[in-house]
Amino acid sequence: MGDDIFDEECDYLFKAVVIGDSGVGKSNLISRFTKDEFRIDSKPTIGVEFGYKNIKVRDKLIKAQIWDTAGQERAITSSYYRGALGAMLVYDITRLSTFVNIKKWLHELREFGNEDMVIILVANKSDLSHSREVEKEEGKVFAEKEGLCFMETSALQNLNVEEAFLQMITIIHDIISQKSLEDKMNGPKLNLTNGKEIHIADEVTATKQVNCCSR
Amino acid sequence: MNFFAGLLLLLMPEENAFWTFVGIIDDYFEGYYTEEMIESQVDQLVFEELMRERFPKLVNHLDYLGVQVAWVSGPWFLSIFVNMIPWESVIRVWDVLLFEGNRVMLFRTALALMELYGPALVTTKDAGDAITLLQSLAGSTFDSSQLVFTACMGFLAVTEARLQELRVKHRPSVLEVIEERSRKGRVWKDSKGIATKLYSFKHDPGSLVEEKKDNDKGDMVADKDVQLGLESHSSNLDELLDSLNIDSKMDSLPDLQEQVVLLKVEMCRLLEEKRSSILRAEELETALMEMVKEDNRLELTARVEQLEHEVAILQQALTDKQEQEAAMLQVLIRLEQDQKVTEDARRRAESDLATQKLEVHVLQEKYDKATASIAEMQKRVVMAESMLEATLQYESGQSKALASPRAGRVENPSRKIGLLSFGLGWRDRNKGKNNTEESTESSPDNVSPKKESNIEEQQGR
Repeated sequence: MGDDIFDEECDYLFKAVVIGDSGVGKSNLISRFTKDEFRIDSKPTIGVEFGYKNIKVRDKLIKAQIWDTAGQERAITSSYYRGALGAMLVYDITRLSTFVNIKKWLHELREFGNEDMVIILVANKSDLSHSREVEKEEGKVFAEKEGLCFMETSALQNLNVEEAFLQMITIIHDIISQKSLEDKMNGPKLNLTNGKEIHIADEVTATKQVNCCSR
Repeated sequence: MNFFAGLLLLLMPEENAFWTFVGIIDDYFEGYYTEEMIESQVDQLVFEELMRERFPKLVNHLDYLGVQVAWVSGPWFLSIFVNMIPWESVIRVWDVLLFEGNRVMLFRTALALMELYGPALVTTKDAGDAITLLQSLAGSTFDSSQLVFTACMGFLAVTEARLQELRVKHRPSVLEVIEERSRKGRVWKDSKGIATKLYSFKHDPGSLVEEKKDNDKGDMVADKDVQLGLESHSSNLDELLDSLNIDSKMDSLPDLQEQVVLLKVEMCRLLEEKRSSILRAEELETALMEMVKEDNRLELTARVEQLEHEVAILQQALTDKQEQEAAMLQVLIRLEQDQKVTEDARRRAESDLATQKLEVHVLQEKYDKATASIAEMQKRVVMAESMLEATLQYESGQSKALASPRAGRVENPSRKIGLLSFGLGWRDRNKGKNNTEESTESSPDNVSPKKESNIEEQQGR
């Protein structure tokens, strides 16, 4: 495929998943980030879809492979988490139930995903503040309690969308560089748990659980 | 499910669509669209096994990329291909699906898609690429006939019986995973206990009995298991016994009476199923009879023969006509030849006529000339006469003066007679010659005798 040329130039390929209840705006967040598009009439996702974007972080070219999952199929999404370095947990500020279900999603992530997965909590649809059911403060408190990053976004108005993704990717990058540094100091032995996902970089995977919001 | 409801709404009025939807979901996709999606997951495992059996190379490659077959095939099965492949192809697959009355066509179509696009997939180097490629290729399956043909002819070995076998084989593992998860997620389940119980109550008459007896939340798992056993709709008693066995291993053992009740329920269901299948068999039989009735192949063959016969007759007629045409042509040629001959004759006659005319003309000219010469002669005769008279007068005057007038008078008549007799005699001699002289060119010698005769004639008058 055409992306192969880019693969050659990229330093890293990061896999990240976007999860959350059905209809919270996962697909539109991704299309806003990767293609700067927003569709008010988008179809529900079935199975999995992909978004790609090349980003430059601290002089490294990173290709972000973002997996767009189906909110309706919670029973079978767990297999998608394998090998993901980052996860974006999305809820809808106008529906309390989606926020309540975040606990379930987080539980699944912790159970099936990598231990050191970078998780960012995103409260979407901030443009619909008149029908808000979940206060920004609630989300923030929950994120702090669980040790997640938090951001309120609007895919419609393009508020904070890029920032949210960039924050996630930057943290992943930092963790990986730190890990590779440690590895270099410890010796040439590498523990390549994610070798399959990252083709070019042979230094991957962080070992520490980093609470990003503490920085 | 929503996609597929949309498909039905496009094809029929709302109420019909609703009942068709209910019917299809109940008969074809029992246990597919539940919260845990058990049957759907079982089907994915079955499909993966079939893939491994049929396309080991492709599955190895996907394994290498870290792609699970279910990531792509799952959506196909869940949406029953709506929005996954082009509209026309969806309808064609649906035709077969509804005709066969089970989910086999789903497997066959998915296998056919894998067969069609497997070669392209092997070239991919990344999980995302592989999935995106397969999704886009499936979305461009415009040759619906090829798809249905590959599906139905290429995978005949995939039958409902075989699928059932595989489903029975894989179901326990799915149930295990779900059980595991529900045990781990007890916290979540507890918070939602009432809703789950209500759900079970609505969907499963069997659990109602238990619900009354077991108020303890600790029994939730066992409860769930029994419910799943029923939901799985496997029409398989072993399966049910399995799940019951799991129960017996669990902390609270349901008493025998309860088991009897459950078994009774199951038996009732089986009986009902049997009845419905008998009904379906009858339906199929009548359908078959109708099809046989509609089978008018013999009629068609007879008609074809008749038509062939007609064609032969027509061909015969055509050859006859051609012969006639040839004969006509010959006749025409002959006529033309005749015409040519007559034309020649006419031309010859015309040329004859022309020569004759020419001759007539020549003769006319000769006649004219002759007439002209006659006129000249007459003139000369007149002149000669006058000269003769003058000479006679002169002679008579001389004789009067020299001799007696008598002697002179006697001499004169005698000469006159002599001249006359000479003229008459010449004319008599030439009478027979006269005709021939007119047709041929007259010689100058003949002119003078002619003059003589003319003179005589003149004198005679």
